[in-house]
Amino acid sequence: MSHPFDPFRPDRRAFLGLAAAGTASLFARPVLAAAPHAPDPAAAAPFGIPMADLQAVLGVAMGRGADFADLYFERTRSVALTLEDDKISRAYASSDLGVGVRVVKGDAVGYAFSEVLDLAAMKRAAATAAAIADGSTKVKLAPVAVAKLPQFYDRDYRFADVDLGLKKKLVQDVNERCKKKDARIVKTTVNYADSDREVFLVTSDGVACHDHQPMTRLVAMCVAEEKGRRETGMYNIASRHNFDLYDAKSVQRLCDEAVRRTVLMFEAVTPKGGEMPVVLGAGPSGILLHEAIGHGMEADFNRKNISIFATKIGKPVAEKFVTIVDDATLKDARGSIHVDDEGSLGQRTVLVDGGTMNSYLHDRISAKHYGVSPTGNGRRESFRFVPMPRMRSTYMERGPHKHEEIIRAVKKGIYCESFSNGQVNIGGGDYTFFLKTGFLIEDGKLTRPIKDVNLIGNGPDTLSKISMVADDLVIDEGGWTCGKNGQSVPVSQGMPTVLVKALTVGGGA
Amino acid sequence: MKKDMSQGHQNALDLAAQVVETAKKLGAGDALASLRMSRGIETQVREGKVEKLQESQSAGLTVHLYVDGRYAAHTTSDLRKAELEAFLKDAIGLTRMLDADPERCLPDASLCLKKSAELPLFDAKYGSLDSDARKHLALAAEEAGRSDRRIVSATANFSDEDGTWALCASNGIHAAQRSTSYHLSAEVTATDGDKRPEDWWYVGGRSLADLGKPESVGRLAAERALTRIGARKYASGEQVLLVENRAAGRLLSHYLQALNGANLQQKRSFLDGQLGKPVMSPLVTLREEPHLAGGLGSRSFDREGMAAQAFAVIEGGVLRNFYLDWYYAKKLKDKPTTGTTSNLICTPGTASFDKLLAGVERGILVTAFNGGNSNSLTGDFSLGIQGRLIEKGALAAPVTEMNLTGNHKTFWNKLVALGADPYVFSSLRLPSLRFDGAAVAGS
Repeated sequence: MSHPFDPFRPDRRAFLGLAAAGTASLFARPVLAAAPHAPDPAAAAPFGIPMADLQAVLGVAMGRGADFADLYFERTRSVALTLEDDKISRAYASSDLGVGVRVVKGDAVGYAFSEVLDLAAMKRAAATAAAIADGSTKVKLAPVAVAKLPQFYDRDYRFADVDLGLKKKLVQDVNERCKKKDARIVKTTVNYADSDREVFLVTSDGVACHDHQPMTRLVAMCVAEEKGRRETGMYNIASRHNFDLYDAKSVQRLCDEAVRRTVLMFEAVTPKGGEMPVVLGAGPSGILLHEAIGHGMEADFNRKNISIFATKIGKPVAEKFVTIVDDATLKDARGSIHVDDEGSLGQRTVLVDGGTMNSYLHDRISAKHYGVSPTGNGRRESFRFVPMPRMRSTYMERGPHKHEEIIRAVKKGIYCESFSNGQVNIGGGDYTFFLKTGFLIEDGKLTRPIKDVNLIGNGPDTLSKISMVADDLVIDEGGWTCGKNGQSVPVSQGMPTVLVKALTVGGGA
Repeated sequence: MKKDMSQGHQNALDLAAQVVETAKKLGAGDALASLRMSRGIETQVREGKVEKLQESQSAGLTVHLYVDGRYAAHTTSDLRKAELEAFLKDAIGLTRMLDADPERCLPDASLCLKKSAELPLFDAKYGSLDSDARKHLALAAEEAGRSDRRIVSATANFSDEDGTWALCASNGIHAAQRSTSYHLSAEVTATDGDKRPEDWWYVGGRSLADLGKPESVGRLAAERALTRIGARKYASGEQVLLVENRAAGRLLSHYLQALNGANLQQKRSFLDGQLGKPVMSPLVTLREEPHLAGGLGSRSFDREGMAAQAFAVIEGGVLRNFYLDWYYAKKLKDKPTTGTTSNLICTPGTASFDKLLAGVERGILVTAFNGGNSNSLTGDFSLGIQGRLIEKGALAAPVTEMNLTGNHKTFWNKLVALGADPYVFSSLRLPSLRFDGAAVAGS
């Protein structure tokens, strides 16, 4: 159900969910991995726009004395199939095309976009965005050179080329397997989605990048009934890998997990609420990092002095075995990008290095502010939005402890297995994440399943309370979407088994 | 087609009608075209300067196709004639490959609007606002937000939008609505050691006059941010909770999931079988009011083209209606209402907020929820809360990092009083609510 009041809400809080002067040389240029090659100016650039036209539009964007401008072309095609009551009776397909024009002057940004790619419309958008600057200085544009991109996923792959019949067969197969798995399953919903996104960025300081970003996701949701009582559960897989992702093994895992998480709920209880030790299981528990530290380390919040981490760089924040990274380079991960949405190459950024706060997540504006190189975190939802610092794949590196050892260390607490969503207050540092499945820990052993409780903590406080980290890092295969200032972007997260000495767990009084 | 708002309704309606006609010609049995055109401007200021200026001019078409008993929806922003025809050909091809479903069809024509009966949601003065006026509104709010030396940052955002939505279908639906909206918000951050406590205020409406004085937006955000200084958690236990009107919509929005037709039909609703039965405190009456003058959710037709109607959702605590769109109503063999909320109005109580507060000997005022979620099947919910302690009927120390946990089936019976203060800056208009015996977890 939609609630139209939500989009109107001002909300600096960021959330995560499954199922947002004068000269250009002042800016740190994006780091390029390999020597760029200069294109023939007479040739057409990607999206069929002549190079000369690109320069003309950039000229208008820079015409009022801006520091920097970029054009972001995007074409995205996507399809989604839904199966309910044994029928694929609903599909959504969309195709989107446009260009965003950004003009930067100091810390200020002018932005406009056009859904029509003719020269006149693009120049109109550029003139609108240029209004952020108020001078008339003529700026000399740098010659454009196309960057060579790294390869973290197959940029030549198109989901559009996969026969729709195969996608249908996959969805029906998941439905059959879930129903066959357990006689108590009374409803299954299966969602399949894929998209092919093509982006082309060209900047006033001469950077050009062209990428294709494939994405797919498969979700199984079940309802089971036993003695008149019903429970529900789900599992999902998401990736930039090609359609072969869905082999017999992964499809069976999806169905097994969706069914297990559903029928497990018949045994599950709501725990007694309060402060207690919490063991975060390997994989999806990376949601804690995303909320407790990731958002607070996005440099736009720190540049404005409104993050709880604004004074923490170089300071010890956690035990020496705690290293936390945000990484664009994981093979086929949903959060991986070859290049960010303002021309900085995909890279690995260390947030916490051996317990010490190491680096913020930067876009070009914040990198200039701090006098450092951009970290490749400048991302945007689409050509309709300005880029800002966003996470990619956020995870904790392996630690010295063992999974069993960590559970044994807890006398009375909870073990977290899966989550649905989380949120954080950037300045206060209070963050939450919602547990869907987990277990009570009693005398060092997992006992009764638990369900549907919110966990709440404070970012820096939680970091200092991470007392054990196992050697079993798992990057979660689920499809996470991160929202910030009204823009959604795909991300990944991962975690080894971790013990947090105390968190507040929701539950009965 | 040029994407120009000044061409207004007629072009949007004509184009939508043309899309339906073309889809039929290319082989669709039925088609419904939904075309949205909008132009919006956003002005964000910080430290006395413009930080972001964005102009968004956009048009998007979604066509719902019914081909040989099969259904799919297709969206594009490319409205050029030749491109549209190719788009529809592909869309019909894809739709044909799906499974047949006899329940998939357009709503019965008798339930639909055939002629556009427009609500007064458009402000005729819209065009008179220029970029300087927008900047000054935002700056006035931002400056009022920097009223105290403990404040480290204030940001204000003013945005306005002029949009047209046209809906045409092969069963005769032919309707359009033009509407404007204005929004002003301020976010203020204070300093508290390493912490940067924050809060916000927001006003919005269909005309500029609905926003009141911009200074009060900044001032209220600042006052609230300053009260967050020193916030911490307190002991777990059962508490009296006063949920402030601005936060109450979030609590109710989780409950609404269980009223949704898809969840009901898919056996994912704890309200299955509860129609006509008491499900909340008898103090609660919730009505769907689509024609509310100036409402942020007002409409004369819904997404499927069904004429909007007022109805009771909860009446004196008794469940009267679900949100059933045409498709799920058919599957449930029931009468449709509508699939989505327009304006949902909670009948307010008689006590002012101050009087409600004065009646609480000891408890917590919830000013905002932090994350959390709800299970529409079981009714279990758990939400992070922040706000103030209440001691002897007065606001005391700030509270944060605590969780409210309960079950919707029982929690709404703990409601013992409603304020006379409905929150008007939302399409869910709720007053402040008092719950007795709520389970709150902290230290």
